[in-house]
Amino acid sequence: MSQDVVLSTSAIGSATTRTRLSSASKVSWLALPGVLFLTVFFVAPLCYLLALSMHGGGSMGRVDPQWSLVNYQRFLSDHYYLGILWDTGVFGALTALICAIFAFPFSYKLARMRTKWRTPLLFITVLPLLISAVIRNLGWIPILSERGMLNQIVLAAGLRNEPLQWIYNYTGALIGMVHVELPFMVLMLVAVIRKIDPALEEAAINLGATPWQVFRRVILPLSRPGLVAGTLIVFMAAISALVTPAILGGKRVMLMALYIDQQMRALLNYPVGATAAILTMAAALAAMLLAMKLGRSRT
Amino acid sequence: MASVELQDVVKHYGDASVVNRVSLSVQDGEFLTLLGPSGCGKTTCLRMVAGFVTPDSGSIRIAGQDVTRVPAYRRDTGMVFQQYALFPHLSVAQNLAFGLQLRKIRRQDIRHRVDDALERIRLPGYGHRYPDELSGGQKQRVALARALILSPRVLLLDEPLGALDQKLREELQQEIKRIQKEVGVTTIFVTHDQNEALSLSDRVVVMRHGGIVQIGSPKTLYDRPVDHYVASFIGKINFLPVRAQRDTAQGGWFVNRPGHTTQWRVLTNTEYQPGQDQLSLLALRPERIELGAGLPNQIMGRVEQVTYAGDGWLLDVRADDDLRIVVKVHNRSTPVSGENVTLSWRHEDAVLLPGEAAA
Repeated sequence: MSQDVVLSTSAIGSATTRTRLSSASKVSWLALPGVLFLTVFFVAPLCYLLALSMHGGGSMGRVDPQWSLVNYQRFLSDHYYLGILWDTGVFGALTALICAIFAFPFSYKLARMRTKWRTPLLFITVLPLLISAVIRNLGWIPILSERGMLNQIVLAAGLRNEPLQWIYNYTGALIGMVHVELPFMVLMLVAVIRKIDPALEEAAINLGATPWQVFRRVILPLSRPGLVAGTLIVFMAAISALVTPAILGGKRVMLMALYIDQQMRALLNYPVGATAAILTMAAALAAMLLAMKLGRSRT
Repeated sequence: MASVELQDVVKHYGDASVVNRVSLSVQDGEFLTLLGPSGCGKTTCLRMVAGFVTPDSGSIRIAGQDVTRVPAYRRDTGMVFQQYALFPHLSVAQNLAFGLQLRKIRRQDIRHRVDDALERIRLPGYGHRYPDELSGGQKQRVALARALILSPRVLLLDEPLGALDQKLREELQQEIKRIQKEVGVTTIFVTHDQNEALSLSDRVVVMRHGGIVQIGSPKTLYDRPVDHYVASFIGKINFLPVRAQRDTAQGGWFVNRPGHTTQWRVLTNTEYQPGQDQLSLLALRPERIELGAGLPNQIMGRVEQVTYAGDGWLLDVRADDDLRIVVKVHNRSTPVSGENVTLSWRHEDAVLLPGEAAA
């Protein structure tokens, strides 16, 4: 008797699964516009870019008809170009690291907050993203320039005798980049820290862990998925950023995005620009795979 | 020797007083339970011993040492949390080793102690599993082992069985009792479940509104509750409003229901000393009442309902007016509803309680 009931319920169960599956296949054509859009506007241009990079050529829009890997050869054997690639990677990594360090304590506090202030504070965190990049970056100039606010304070406090160079260099680009990307890191971290049961911290304290050890051995490992996701987002955004490094970095900072822009728009050297773009993407892809490996919850 | 002592401990959250001048001392090796409904301050008391909550005033001592201002990570207590609080990113063995590693104990010794701990909770070979691969009962046993592996001065259990189903709860109660006796560790247990409190504890502290109502052995609380609150919180009980008069000849009390002439005698009462004709409550446990006129104190009634309770029957008896009395009988033949019965009980099985919280 009871067995019959079990059998019949399992039969019902599988029947509902089947209907669900068939209805799923019925609505799958809804994904078609999206797939079509991505194919036309993302996959196809990418293929074109790849093809473009495999032709010789030069400035003023000249593209040799025959296939060759000469661009890659030149790029990968020249210290100048490799230096740009390396600098870009370091720029992305530094931005991500600084964001993580700044965002962690703030996100922790926000995630553990019980009052109604959390939502407004989160909103304020995201506010910089609502302003145009150009305006946001211009806003830094009165603060960071040679006669800017920060230097006035440094001089008045007697920390230095002459103004510091905050802007139109690597530091400036980094400050601007961290400013834009910080909200993404905070959002990722708040989401993951909120899921950590506060009782786990108490359990660790009860077993004799100091506040630092609680962070090192419980909070940090448990927020790793969010940390990895946030780092990845920030890193990707930083290595492909154009406007912020251009405005706050000045002419002294050369990163891949700036170099590609220069080749493509100023020199009209499409094959070299395409090569740089493909290499940047390959590096980003490698970083992503590495992050996914690190992001697994158990190693 | 007192192992844990709370002295005049007070805690407020905003305007709300959560713990109000609680003084308590737990003996070495004792199993003490804090019992009460949610919001009575029992968990706050436990968390103050653990060091997660700092009292506004008063002091806390562990093994004679004043720890009121000692941070939680140096208190040397072992705590088991309601939702287990096992580290999800660590295996069972790593969970058990957590505290040992912080104390920089040699790797080899750690492995031995972890193996011993797994043996003790009867989960040998489970070291490599992760918490999400364990059942609720297994998780709680690992949590218990983790709390005990550092040989703490006091074991703190915060409703550790709350998340488990009834059968598993009873199994784990026995397990906790067995391990606690084996290790001999002083234990403070927090629960709102009176059955758990009665079956596990050496002594039970009944709490209400942040204060202690009664402290005593489970038997004392059951047989000699101090008031209506304790009596009704622990087990089933009947309350009969009565007026009491001192029996000067034989000791004890004469009581009669207001408006009735039938007199009963009560031999036992707690510290409660009612004045002449003061309105009080006569408390009677259902299983201490007999059917028939075999015992000296009697009342007549009519059976309204008979409920089968597995180990006997519960009779809902309505006495001549609006008084209901629940009786538990174990006889094979029971009266049917509508039948008139006489109920009786011994002098010493009734308890006289203050009447302020009218039933």
